[in-house]
Amino acid sequence: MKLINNIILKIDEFPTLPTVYTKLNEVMAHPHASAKDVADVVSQDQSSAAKVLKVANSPIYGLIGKISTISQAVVYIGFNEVKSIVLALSIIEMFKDVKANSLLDPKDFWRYSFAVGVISRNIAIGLKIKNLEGFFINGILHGLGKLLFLKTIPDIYEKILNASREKNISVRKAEEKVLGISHPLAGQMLAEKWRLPKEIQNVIRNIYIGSVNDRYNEMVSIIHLSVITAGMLELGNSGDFLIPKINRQIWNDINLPEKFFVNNYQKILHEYQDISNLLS
Amino acid sequence: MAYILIEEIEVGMVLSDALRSDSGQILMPEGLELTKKHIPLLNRWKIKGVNVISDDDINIDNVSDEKRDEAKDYLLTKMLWKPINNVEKDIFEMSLLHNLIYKGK
Repeated sequence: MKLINNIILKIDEFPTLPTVYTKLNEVMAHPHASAKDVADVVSQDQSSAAKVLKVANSPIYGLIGKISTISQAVVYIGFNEVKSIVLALSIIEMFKDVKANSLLDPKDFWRYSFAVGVISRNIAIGLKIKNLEGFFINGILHGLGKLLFLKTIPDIYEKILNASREKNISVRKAEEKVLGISHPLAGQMLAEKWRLPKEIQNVIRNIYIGSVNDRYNEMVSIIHLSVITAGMLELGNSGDFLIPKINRQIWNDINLPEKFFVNNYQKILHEYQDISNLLS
Repeated sequence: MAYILIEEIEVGMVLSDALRSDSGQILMPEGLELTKKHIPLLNRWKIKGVNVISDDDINIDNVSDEKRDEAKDYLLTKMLWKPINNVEKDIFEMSLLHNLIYKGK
């Protein structure tokens, strides 16, 4: 039995993304796309429009209660960020039927993922990065591969999670041993099939490496650090008991203010709790 | 310490850290008791939230050395690394704080 071939087949057969996302891509590819054009597409799907507004008004964006229409959301938080929120909501919806096993409840995995998103955006703010687009949502979506495994091979995956605990190895190593493929690669393959932006693909693929082609990559390196930080805080459940190693090359480029984490702890927790309540 | 949004500020809350501008200049000192007159200032500086002293702070101070060591050991058994620089120590310190506040309950 070649499990790896089975997984590749399952990625190939995986459903496509909802039309609201593909339509947004089409509209935004147009050089003169307006906030109204984007709003028109999102508003066609009422349930996702309502959720986009909730996310846009959450403390993460610091605009609480100020955004009442999708057009405003586009103006305040940006075209791409609105598109990314729609993408994240679509993906959450696609994995809604995933069942919990004895070691991992997908709801807890999403909570952990929200924590990674919140921490990433806060680090980006701490580093005074001008364009904050993507840090939150790419953080949320970094673990796509684990969800893919939970959904497509639930029984085998429970055994893999078990083996990682018993042998005290990372889930990724246990996946490699049993499946011959680990979640960063499988996740990137699904992202590629969906034609997600290269930036998200880089994050998913290099999440434990923390760099791209051995070079610092602002988005990848920050989300890598956030995965470690969310693991330390045990917010939600990543499925891993062990906390991954830090790629210490990132310290050449990441210069956070002194005591950044201790000073921002309550802010991070507040934003995490709010978004977790909103989306789960 | 608790992070609260400007909308949630109540008169009498006390800043747990100095409030600084983007350039690092102190806008309000640590230990300042907030009054109504501070709110318009915070709005003018476009500050979204501040750290104030909360009940959790008292709990942390009362934690015994044993509890603290226990939490430290627990975190270290999970970690495939050891904190070696200031940022890593900062992450560790925050995680310890979180563990003592939430896992102790």
